[in-house]
Amino acid sequence: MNTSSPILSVQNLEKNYGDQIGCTDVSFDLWPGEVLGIVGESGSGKTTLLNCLSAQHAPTNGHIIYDTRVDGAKDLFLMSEAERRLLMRTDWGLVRQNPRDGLRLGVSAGANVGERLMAVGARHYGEIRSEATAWLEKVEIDKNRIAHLPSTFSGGMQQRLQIARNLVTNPRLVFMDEPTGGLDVSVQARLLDLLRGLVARLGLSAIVVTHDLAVARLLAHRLMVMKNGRVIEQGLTDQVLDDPQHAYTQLLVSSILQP
Amino acid sequence: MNTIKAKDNSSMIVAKGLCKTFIMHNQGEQMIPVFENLDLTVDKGECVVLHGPSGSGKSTLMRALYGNYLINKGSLLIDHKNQWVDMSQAQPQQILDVRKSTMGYVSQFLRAIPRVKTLDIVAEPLVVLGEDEKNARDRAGELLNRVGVPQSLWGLPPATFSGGEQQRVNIARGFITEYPVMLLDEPTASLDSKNKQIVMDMICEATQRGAAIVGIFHDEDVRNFVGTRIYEIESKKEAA
Repeated sequence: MNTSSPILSVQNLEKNYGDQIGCTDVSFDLWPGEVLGIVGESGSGKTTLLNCLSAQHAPTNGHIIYDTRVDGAKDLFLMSEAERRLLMRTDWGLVRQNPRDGLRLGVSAGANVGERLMAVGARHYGEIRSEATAWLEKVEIDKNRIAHLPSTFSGGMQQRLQIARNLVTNPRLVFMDEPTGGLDVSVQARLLDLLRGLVARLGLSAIVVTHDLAVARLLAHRLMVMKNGRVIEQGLTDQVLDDPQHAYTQLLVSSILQP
Repeated sequence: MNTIKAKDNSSMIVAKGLCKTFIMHNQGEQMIPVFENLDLTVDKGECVVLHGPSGSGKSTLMRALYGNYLINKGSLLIDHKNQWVDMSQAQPQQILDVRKSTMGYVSQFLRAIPRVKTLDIVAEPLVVLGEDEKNARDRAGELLNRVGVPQSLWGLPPATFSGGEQQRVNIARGFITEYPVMLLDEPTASLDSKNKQIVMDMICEATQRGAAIVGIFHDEDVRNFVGTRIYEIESKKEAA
C-alpha cells in the first residue's frame, strides 16, 4: 500500500438540507489502494456523504481534495463543472445500489461497457468490442449475451454489468453504494468474491457504503461508523467490529444475526 | 510515523504496562477489567506460552498484540522491518502492513471467505506479498499435503469442511509465510495426535529459523514440546 499522499482528503465536510443535517464534521484521508467502508443504519447520512464525495451534491461546508493525475491535489468544488465531469468519466467509477440507475437500459450490455471506453477516447470498434467482451468475462457474464439489453438480465447480472461498466476505464477511485443490497445471498457471495479480487488486483481505492457489517469486514481495510450524520467511530475494520468502543457500534455489532 | 528507531537487541515484541478493560455501554456501562500493567518481551527464536485459567485474558492479549483489540494504556512495540512500530498508536494502514509482512496470526477458527477455494485461501498471504500466483499455489499445495488435507478438497471452499480440516487449512495459511512474529491461538485444539505432532514440528521449525512466537496451548504435551518459556497470566475478573 502506497502511503505517500492521500488520493482523497476530506476536511470538515458538512451537508445540510435546510435545517436538517445530512452529514457534518466529517474529516478523513483515503490512501491509494485503500478500501474504506462506511457503515451505519439508514438515515445515518452515509449516502449523503457518498453523494458529496462523488461530487454529485455540493457540500454546504468543508473541502474535498482529490489528488488528480495531472495537476496534483485540487479542491473538487473549486474545479469547473467540465473538469469534474471529465474526472467522473475517466478517474472515477460509481456503482449504485440499484443497477438500473447506473446502466443505460436502452442499449446492449456490450454498449454499456463500450460506451465508457468511447467516453475516454477509444474509437476502434474492434478493440472496444474485445475489451468489452473481456470485461463481461471478468464479471462472469456469458459473452453470448453481449448484444442483449440489460433489462433482460437478472438483478445480480445487472449489478455485475454495472461493475464492468465502471471498471473498464481503469478508474483510480470507485464509489459503491450498497453494491450487494437487494441480492440473493449466493449472488451476493459471488459478487463479493469478484469485488475483492478486482480491488486487490487493480490496486484501486474505493469507498463502500453498506449497512451489512459482514460485507464491510470482507471488503474494507478501514471502517467509519456513522450515526445522525456524524462519524462516531473509525479505525481498522476488524478492530472496530471486534472491539467497538462507542455505545452505538457495540449495539450494531451485537445486533447481527448469526446464521 | 509512530516508529522509534534504535533497535539494538533481538527482541521482536516489547510490551510495557498494557492495560485492557472492556466497557459495555449497553449493559449499564459495565466494566470488565482483563489485565493491568502487563509486561511481555519476546525475543527471536522464543516460543512463549501464555498460561492461565480460561477467561484470564490470554486470547485478549493475543488480539491486542495483533492490533485487533485496542489497549487502554501502555506501549506495544513490534519489530517491523528493523523499526519499532507501536501497535497501540499505529494507523490502520501501518497495522495492515505489519500484518502483511511481519506478524501472522493463527486463530482457533477459520474465517471462510465465500466461494474462495482452499488452495487460494492458503496461497493468499504469499500472493499479497508479491509472490507469483503459481509458485504461491505450489507452496500452498505442499503445506496442505504436510498437514494432511487431501488434494480432492483443495478446489473447494472450506466452509463445509470438518472442524479439524478447517483448522489445518488455517495452519497451512498461517505458516505459508515465514513471518518473523507469529501468534498461535490453540492451533492444535481440534487435531488428532498424528496431525498434532505435524503442527508441533512446524512450530519448532519456525522457532528454529528465528521466529518470535506467542502461543496458547491447552494441551500440556504441546506446551512442553514447543514452548521455550511459560508466561503466567493472572485473572483480573474477580476484582471487578
